[in-house]
Amino acid sequence: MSEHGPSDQVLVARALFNDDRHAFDTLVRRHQSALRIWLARLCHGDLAGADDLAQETFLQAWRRLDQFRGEAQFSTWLHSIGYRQFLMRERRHAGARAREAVDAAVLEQWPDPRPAVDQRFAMERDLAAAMAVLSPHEYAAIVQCFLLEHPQEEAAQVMGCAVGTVKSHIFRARQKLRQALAAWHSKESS
Amino acid sequence: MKPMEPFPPEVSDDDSLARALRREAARGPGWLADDGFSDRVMQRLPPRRHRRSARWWPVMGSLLGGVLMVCADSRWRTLPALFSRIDQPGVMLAMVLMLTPILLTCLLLLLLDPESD
Repeated sequence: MSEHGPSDQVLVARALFNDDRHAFDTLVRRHQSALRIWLARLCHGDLAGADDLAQETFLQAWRRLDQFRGEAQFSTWLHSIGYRQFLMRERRHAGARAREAVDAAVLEQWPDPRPAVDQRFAMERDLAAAMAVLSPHEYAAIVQCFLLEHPQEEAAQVMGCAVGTVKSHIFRARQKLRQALAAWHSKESS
Repeated sequence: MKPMEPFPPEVSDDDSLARALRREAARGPGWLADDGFSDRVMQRLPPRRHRRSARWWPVMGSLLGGVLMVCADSRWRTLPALFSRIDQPGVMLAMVLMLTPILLTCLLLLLLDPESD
């Protein structure tokens, strides 16, 4: 993770034991991009919302720096804090979105893609709509393992669960997505 | 970091989904410019919390535990019994001998605390 300069572990130790803010500043600059991109993915492209979460994540990391044991990479630990922030945000907005309320019956009535729209963009639009019905855990698993191509083991560490649970989230997410994109699939196979 | 296949074999059987996810993965930036983000974080960074009070809890717990042990000792089974005998020199000496190491440990922890001012 640290191509140049001291390793993350060294910087954490400096920030923690010497109260070295410059060391923490280096950590922030080193990891801000990956964290913000990841959170923006989780927030369905809402970069402003993702930046708020990322700021809060770094502040939490600063407060809890003594809890970083070095068992996982610093970036993984940071992402796990970010994930908790994201879940808290989701809970706050859960009532408004009622994402969980969308069930299989609704998905079966998913509208066919409009022929007038460019096929590629229409499918992207439908994929985005389908993604919106995933639970936060399912969506996070898909984002981590598919869109960002992180190993499932790392996703499990970030999400604070077992690898098997991540696989279950992915399985359920794929079922929902496949169902939502069934019209496309049947169209391609015919 | 162990490299991973972007799309595991079980996904590739579903061409539509795999293709859609690949396109989605390719969208979006690979790197975000800082644009003052780090500075904003650093400006909001609070002073490091001094956790001296947190370090006192185990010490205070030990102290309390020591006192309770004395109270539960077979010779002095109850607290009133302890207080009724506290004027006896032997009991006083035992208490001092028991509490002195604990108090010295408290003092030592306080002096060696790296977060103390």
